[in-house]
Amino acid sequence: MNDDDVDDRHGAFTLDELADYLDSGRDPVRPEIEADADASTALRRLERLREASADLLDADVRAAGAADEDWIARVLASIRTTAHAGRDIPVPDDDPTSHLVVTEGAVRGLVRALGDGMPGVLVRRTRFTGDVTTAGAAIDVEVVIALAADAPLRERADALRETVAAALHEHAPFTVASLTVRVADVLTPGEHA
Amino acid sequence: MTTTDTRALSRLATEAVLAVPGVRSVVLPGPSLAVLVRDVRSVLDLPRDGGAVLVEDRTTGLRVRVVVTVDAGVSALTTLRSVRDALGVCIEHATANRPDDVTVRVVEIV
Repeated sequence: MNDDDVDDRHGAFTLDELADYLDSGRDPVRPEIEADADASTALRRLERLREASADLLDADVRAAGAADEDWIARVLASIRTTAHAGRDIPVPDDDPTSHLVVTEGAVRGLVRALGDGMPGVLVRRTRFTGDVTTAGAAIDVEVVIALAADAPLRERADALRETVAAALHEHAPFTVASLTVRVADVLTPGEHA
Repeated sequence: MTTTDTRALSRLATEAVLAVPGVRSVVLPGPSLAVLVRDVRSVLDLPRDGGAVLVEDRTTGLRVRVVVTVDAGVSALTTLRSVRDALGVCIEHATANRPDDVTVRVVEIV
């Protein structure tokens, strides 16, 4: 956790955590967030902000008089991807005229896809601690997950850790100082995993 | 071909980037995307199936920006460098000059 996280908490949760929860469609429901009054207020504001942004964007598109709805749909998909990009993580490179960047959102999305693709695993959050905006910096990575209770938790967490470590080695521009997989929840039968 | 027609260069550069192994799609460059939605189609003559490489002709030289989604089967770092190299070759071939500033951004690894 860094100082920013402490300052930006809404109830017991950071804005990143709440944004991730909204991204998941609030499914599965996280009672600890829903029961937190400050977090719930922040969630409602975040939702309203997103709706307002989408409305403004739609209004811009209509004002542009674009007739090709399919094309516009693709543009909006691009915007959604970019809007969740997060910070730029620079790729160490010798060419002074080029700036090569992998966004934080791209790496988070990859980790989420890998985790959610494993049976019984649901990625809650991926956190990078350290200065990811400095090329080649050493970063502590924490992946917070929920696991279904129908298999050994340690085994699944270890398997995910191994998979994420390989993916970060392949795709992340930073040095992984540490990689922690933290099991925050055990999903009961009937919950999505 | 020697040209500073940035629309033509954008089309050429987009084709070059899409030909790089590991590149899945070219995304509209941000961050003022709402403005781009309004203006970009006529300005850049975008291909209908996606975004385009943004080429700007500045007094200091050509500035090139591209946002891509990449295939997880290829290292994102390798793909980034390949895109940069492909852009350099493409722009130099078209204008006889290397671009002055190239930014390649990966926003999704699928």
